Amino acid sequence: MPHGGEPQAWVLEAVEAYEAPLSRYARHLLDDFDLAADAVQHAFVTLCCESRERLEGRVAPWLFRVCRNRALDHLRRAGREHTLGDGPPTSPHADGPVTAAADDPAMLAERADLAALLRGLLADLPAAQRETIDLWCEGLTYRQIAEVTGRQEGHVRVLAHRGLTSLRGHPRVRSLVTHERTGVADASASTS
Amino acid sequence: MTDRQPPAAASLPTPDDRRDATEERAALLTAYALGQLDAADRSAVERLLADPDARRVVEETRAVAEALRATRRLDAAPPSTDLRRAVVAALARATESASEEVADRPPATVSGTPRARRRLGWLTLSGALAASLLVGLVATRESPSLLAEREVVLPRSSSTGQPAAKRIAATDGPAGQLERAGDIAGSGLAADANGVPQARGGGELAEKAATVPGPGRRNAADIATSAPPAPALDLALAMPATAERQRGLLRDGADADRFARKAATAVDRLDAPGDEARERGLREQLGVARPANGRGDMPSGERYATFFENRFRSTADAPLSTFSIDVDTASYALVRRFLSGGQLPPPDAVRLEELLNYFSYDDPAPAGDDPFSVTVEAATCPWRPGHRLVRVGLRGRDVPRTERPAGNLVFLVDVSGSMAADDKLPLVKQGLTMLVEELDENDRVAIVTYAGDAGLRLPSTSGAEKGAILAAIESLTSGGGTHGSAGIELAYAQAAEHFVRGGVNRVILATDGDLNVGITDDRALANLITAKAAGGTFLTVLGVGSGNLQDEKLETIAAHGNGIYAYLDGAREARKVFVEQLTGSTITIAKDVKIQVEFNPAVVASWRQLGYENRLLAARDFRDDTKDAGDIGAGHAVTALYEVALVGEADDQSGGEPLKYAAPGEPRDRPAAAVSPDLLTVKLRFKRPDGDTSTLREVPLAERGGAFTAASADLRFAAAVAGFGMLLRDSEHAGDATYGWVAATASKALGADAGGWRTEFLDLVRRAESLAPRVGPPGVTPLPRPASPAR
Repeated sequence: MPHGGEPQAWVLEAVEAYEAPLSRYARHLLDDFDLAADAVQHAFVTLCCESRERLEGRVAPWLFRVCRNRALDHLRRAGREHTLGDGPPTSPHADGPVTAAADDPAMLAERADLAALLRGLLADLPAAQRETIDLWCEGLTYRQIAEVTGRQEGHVRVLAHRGLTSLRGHPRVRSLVTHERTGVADASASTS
Repeated sequence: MTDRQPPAAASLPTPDDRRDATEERAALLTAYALGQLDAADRSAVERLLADPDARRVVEETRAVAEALRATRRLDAAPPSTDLRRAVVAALARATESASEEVADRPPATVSGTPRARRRLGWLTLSGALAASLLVGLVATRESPSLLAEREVVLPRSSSTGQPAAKRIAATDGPAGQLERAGDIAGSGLAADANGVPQARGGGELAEKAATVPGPGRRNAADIATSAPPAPALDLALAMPATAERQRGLLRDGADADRFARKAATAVDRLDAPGDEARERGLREQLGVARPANGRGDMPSGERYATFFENRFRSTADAPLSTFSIDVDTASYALVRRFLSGGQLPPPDAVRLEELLNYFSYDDPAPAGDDPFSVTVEAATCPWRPGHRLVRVGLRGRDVPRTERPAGNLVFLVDVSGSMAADDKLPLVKQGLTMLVEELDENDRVAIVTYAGDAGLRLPSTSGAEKGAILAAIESLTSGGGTHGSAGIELAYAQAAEHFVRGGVNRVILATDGDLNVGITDDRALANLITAKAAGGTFLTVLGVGSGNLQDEKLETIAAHGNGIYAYLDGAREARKVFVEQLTGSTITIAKDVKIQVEFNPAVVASWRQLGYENRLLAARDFRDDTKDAGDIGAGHAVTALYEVALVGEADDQSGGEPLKYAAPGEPRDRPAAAVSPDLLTVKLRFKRPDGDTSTLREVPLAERGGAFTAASADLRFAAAVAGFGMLLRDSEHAGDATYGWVAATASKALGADAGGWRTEFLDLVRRAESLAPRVGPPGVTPLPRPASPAR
């Protein structure tokens, strides 16, 4: 067939594969649904003009990077670029209700949901740590995260470590995780 | 930049970025827990793990990280149609400047099928070029069977071009060249089994980088000793593409099919905004100005494949309805979960055929040696009195316990941390325990775990040794390390080792959505499952829990393995599935069961099948014994419903506008056979469980049926269930149906209802009624109507 028909297939596949991860990432960066949608669309539309061969094998980090740059543009325009620094978060997070819930022991007990708690805590991490963990959660390797964020891989490693350490150190997380592990031990003990 | 100090001098934070060697070493542990180290670093770190504290840190980090990955699914949103439209338009522009010959392509190559042309109707908005592009894409590939018969034509909406156009304008970049790519996919774009994008190429890149000396990569030793690296900023981007291996991965026919399906899915989605109700649904699910109507908001990362309901088809154009038997019931349990939680389910979680087949019907047992009986019945269509409703019922032979063939069951259980919730692993264990009671010395059970503390938990053990099996079940716990990835292969190996010829050989996968069973490539996984099914070992998938459920994927996998997909939403359902169904589904009495209904154009003007959207087959596949289809197990019943408009009656105005969907067919000569008074003939092809060639059965229906209220309880109950499903889907085909009517009809058609399932249905209907919006935006949500249809 004449060329021009098939090359777009990989872009559509990329949309299927990466729309959700990119959207989540962009929303966390921007705290704004529409701006995030714009950044995601910008990444894919830019991808349309790219040569597939050139990006072979590294579409994911490329998309995240383009999306991130767009998001940073938005933040700069809003005077918020410092929000990607290592400092504490400076903007209220969209996950407010969840964070609030995390402070409410009754809610927590009711849900007994580690994931919900973490989601709130994640929002309170310094932005760079949160971003690193977000990207890891989306399946990127440290190396790819370094590529996306323009940080050194060692720095990424430390950021992930710091983020996870403070999450792990949160008393409620600790008790939930420990409880889980104790449960494991108990159950195996009971059957041996 | 003094953070390169040797370990002895460590621990003083450097002022610039507060990183120190101690922290970097600790970060290695975290990296290890997150699976970010290469082999050399890994073994270095593993030596540290002799220290219990280090091990504890790794375990805790893993537990937290796993939970974190689960949280990202809380942020899921349905696919954006705006985005897809913008991408297609951008592709068109990019290609326009890159290649004039696309525009010059002769019309003959691009016209494609009428379906393809209609499908692309909206593209006129972005220019004929885009249309020719996509039509070329869709039409020049052999359409996969599932799509060949599928109607995806939706009305166009003039307003839908707006948002995308706006964004496109904002992102106007130079239209670069779109170079020809020899193969169509496989550039590392595959998502892994969790839907986590798997940047395979990226991994390779990292491997390669590891061999490159210099700043690109630092190993454990470097951290203490090496000079500070140069900024790694664009290093990876500057590296040459490395993916020769990935090229040409997907050249064969199966992949072309798979690709065509994907492309068509993308295009289907493009069609979606034309449908106002769906667009509104998307907006709701996205949380943008969500009306307070209690519709389930796609909790977390659960995914429900978008599908479009079957439409009315003109018998003159399409006399054949072909589909594969589907005895899945997961959708009903999902619906129940949502309703019990006080929410209406997302429309795409509602699959009519799975609702219908959740219930057992009183169809007669098959006579003689037949594996199943076929019952066909018609009556006035309750929600559109000008139409008829036809029920086709299949009932599998019951196999007495004593005649039950020996079972060889291997449970493959997800024990990742996320399975800890009460409604997950504990529920699976409960079900397993109940199942053990049903086993005897002819049966064997093995248990393999994955995604957590993985491995063989119970080697294949005789069903008589209940104590040992129960102990193994009891010992199942979630969490722990994620070593071993043999998962599914180990399970199949166990099944093969004790393969029972003529018996029931089955792997039963229980998961909350983590499909990291050892094979991350979807296609390889599907191939393995299909190959094993061909060898006689089938796969059953049990979904549990909420928040992580990969509904579509689980359904697909089960279909590959000739198995059922069931969703466990509670102890009651676990009993039904493990005790009532697994003993049934473990005995396949007929496989590759396909139904073809041939409508008589002399009697039936148009018809519509309710549900089975994902199970449609091309008419030609009916006779193709190599095409896989569903199975029927002992005691299973399968029900399908058709709404038909009869010639002559179709003009009856009492029920609305029956001819709305039936495009008047071109006048054509009617074959002599059409003089027959039959409405339709149900044709069934099936294979014996150990056979390779199919048998054909034909059952004609001549009766048009009378009043709905005079129909059998089974037809009335099935109609109520279908009406319920359509209401939950906000279906445009729901006609006069209301929740009140559904409840009234179902309550008069409970039958014996031994298990109490039909009674429970009534409760769900009432819940749905209380949650349903009373008044919606005009023209979108049907206003409550007087409940008068049951007449």
